[in-house]
Amino acid sequence: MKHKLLIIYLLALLLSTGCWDINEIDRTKFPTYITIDQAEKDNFLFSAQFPIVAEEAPEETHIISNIAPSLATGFKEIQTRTIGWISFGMLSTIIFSQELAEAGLQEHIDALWRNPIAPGSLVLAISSERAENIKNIEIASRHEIGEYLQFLFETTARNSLLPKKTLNDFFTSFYIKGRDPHLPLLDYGTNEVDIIGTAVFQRDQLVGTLEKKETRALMLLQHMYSKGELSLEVEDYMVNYYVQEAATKLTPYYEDEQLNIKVDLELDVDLTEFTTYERIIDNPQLLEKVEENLAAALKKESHILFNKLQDYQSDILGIGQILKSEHPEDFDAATWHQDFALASVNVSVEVNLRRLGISS
Amino acid sequence: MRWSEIEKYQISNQQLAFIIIQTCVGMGILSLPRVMAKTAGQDAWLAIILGAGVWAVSLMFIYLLGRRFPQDTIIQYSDYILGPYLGKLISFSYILYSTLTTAFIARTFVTVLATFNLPKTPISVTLIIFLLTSYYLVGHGLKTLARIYEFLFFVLSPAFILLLPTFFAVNWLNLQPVFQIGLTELVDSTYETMFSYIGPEIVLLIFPFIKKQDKVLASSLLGLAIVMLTYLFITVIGIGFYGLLPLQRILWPTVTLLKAIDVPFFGRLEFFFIFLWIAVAFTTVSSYFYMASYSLTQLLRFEDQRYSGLFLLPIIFGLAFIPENVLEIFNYLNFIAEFGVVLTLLVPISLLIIAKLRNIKGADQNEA
Repeated sequence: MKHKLLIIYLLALLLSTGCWDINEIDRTKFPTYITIDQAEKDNFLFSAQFPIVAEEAPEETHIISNIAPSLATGFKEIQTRTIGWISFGMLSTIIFSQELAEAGLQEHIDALWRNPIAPGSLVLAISSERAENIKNIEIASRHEIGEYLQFLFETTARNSLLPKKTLNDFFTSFYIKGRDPHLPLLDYGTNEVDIIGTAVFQRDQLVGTLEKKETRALMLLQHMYSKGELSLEVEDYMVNYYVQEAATKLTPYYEDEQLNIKVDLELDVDLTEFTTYERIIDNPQLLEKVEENLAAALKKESHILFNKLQDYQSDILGIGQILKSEHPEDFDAATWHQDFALASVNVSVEVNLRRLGISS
Repeated sequence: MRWSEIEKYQISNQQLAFIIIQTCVGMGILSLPRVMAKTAGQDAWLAIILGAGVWAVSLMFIYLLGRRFPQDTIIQYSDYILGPYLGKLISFSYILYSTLTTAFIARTFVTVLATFNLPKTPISVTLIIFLLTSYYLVGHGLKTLARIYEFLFFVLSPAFILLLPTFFAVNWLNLQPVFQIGLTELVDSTYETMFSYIGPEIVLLIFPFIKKQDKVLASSLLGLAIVMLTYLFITVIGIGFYGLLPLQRILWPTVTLLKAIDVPFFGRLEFFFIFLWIAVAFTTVSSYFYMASYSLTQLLRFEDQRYSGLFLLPIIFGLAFIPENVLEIFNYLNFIAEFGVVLTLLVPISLLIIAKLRNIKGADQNEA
């Protein structure tokens, strides 16, 4: 009897905490994506899409917008216009407009990072136009834009087409010495979202953009290009390579007070498309040419990438971090961006064509 | 102490190792990577190993003291060695220290829980549930405590397996270059690390109840080694994953590590980790609650430990509300940690030296 009473007593105690923090799932609103744009008078326009779970509801999603001076204030007001408690627990994407990113993202990142419910794995992106315009896209494949974005980012990141960056990545790159953040850059179409490149930051401010080819080089140099297709137009035909493995070594060093960056890139690739009548199987010179073409193209793209990053004075490759760990005496955080901008870059690329598919 | 009482509560040497692990690993695991990143930088691992080394030396003195007084606890032999007045002062210091530690660790526990899981529940409700459960365990004595700890060790180990995905995302550049720390910083950070290791002082109280007293040192060191490996694991992952500067901006890095990763099917792991960590914090609080109530029982010669526990319960509850915010909580935790380091390192050494000089020995177990 004594034990039964004790069990009842302990169970009753457990229930008492639920009285305050109980959140019924049908009374909770989970935004799937949020867009943030600059508004007038130092305010921001926050828009969030909430899926509606009730079967009888005429719409499947609901978008609520609000102008406010900060993210927390904005959602406090949005809370008064929704039935149910807003939770960032299922939030998967936040899109900032390019205009807003140029002014700086730190205050929004702080609000998200401080929130224990917001996942650190939520994906951040920059839109080349007003971020809120995403609501005008009529997605053909899926009804809900938040879900579409989640799938789009997952598949493109897996195919090495997207520099996928999370809240956690941005926070880390923002505070670490010798590394700057970067985010994917989006363009809205009528029926789809296109990833057109990379938004480059210095600290929390957007300072420039990279196009698709430079983004490709960036991902190769960041070890993010694990597997995926590379296309190249050579003379009057197309060559498609499938990257099986990419190994990159970035070596910063000082020589005569001049910063040098040595870039070694080695790729193992398969041939997946070769739109010419020439046979490779009995032509070693042609095989070598196919390898050299890709090596030359990637070397050029890497140099363009470095030129742009040096112009922007943004070290998104984390070369300063490498220098700091290998030669701490040479790294000066205060002058790093200037040193990086003046660095001499030497890129060498080696391509090994391993397989030809099932055609000769 | 009566031999019949010792026999009744006797625990195995293996259980001693579990008690040390469960007592040491508590609140520190949530904030240790941040503290170490600030004081020792990328050489934090070195400070953690050295900190364990200092505690190993301290455990050796505790063991020697215990062997000299095999049937007595520090509450009893401090009287024999220093006389009734100074001895009582030492006993009172241990009771005060254990009571304060119970209160502030319990307060930290409810603060973390309020931050992540129960933001709307009044902390007094969570605190009273936590303390009552702990009181219930402590009231059943050392043997029950040891059995629960042994069981929980195997239940709670998966909490650290949850951190494995972040291990594979560690950027090793963040841990380089090694051996950059100066001697002064190394001493400071080793001292800071020692705060996270407080807990082995429980041996001062439970030594008479351990079956094979000649193997107490080996069992204690085994427990300490597991604690050290746990701290090394979370600190290396914390610094490696975030880097030194970002880490210093994260209040509870070990939980935030899990916030950063998204594991398919399981989703958010940090809430599951906190669910397991509740038991980790519970064992630490229970150990100190046990130390406080058992010491008080011995000092005031209560019939039953439950009376002293009941007497301490409202005091602990009240003390837990002294810190007004999270900054004050950390300040109070640092204060009791320093208090603990003095009581665990300096007092046993001093008592042993005085006992040897005055040639004071306890009764042999076989004689009793």
